[in-house]
Amino acid sequence: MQNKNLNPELHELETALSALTPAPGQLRRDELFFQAGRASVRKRPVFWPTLSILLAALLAVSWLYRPAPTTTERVQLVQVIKEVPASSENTFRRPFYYTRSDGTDVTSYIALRDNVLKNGLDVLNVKTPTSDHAEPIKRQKTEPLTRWNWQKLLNGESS
Amino acid sequence: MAAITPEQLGHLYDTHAGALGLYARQWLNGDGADDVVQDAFIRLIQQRRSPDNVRAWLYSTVRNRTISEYRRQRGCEQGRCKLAAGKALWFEAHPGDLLDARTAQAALETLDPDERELVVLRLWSDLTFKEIAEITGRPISTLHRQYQETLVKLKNILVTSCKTKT
Repeated sequence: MQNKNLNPELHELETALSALTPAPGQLRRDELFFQAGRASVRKRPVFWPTLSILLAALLAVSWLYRPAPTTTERVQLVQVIKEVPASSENTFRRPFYYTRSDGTDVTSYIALRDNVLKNGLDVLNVKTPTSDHAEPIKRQKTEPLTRWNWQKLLNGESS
Repeated sequence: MAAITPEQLGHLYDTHAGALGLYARQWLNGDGADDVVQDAFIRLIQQRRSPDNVRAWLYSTVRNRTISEYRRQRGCEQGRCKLAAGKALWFEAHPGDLLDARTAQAALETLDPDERELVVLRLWSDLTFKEIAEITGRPISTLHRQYQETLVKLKNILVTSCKTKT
């Protein structure tokens, strides 16, 4: 590549110099390609294997030097509720019969009460008055509530 | 952009290996320069994505590696490296050349390292001034001016050399 701004003498010198051929070195093409091919082979990745080894070493060290297990004594209060063994289911349903201090036997009453509570009033076998035999309700004829009567009621006067 | 394929690498090697070697030989002797160039190509094929400007990338890599290697081997005073002179031939000698290869190499060796780098990149690497500015980190306007001045200096050196020989 020659400079066009040069004067003819310098241009001629430039041409003469650039015509000289650089001497070839001792470098051999085959050797260069061999070296280049060997160098172009990708290096094995080192990051992940190194990281794995480090983590494994860390795990081993932490396992070896792990703290000994400690025993902690702790007092805990537990409330124990003793259950009373039940002999049978009817124990609590059985009527409790007893005699009063005055000697009256309430057994029959309590039995009757339990029977009524369980089966209703029909167990009493009491005849209730029917509407046919019942006496008619006599309605008392009252005076109409007038102002006058009202005043009398307030004054406590009976009619 | 995908990675460089072996076919592309072969094409890049055939096209630029000579100029890259010449560029590296400014600072290092023959073996060291070859190692740096080989390393640059190996690094290129290791790239997951191909650089936008592969040519400029190759020259930048060679430049950085060469300067580091030179500093490691001999030390470099304030970043201005001395020439690896007389270690290897820079150019192939052909009968039809307008300039003698050894004379041209000797003239280039007398230049300031920055000037020599500019001329090598411009003439034998076929790079634009913009690409050279990216590689060397110098302003384009400075490169234009410096290039013309360097050519004048080279011309004077060569004329003086011819007069001395005759």
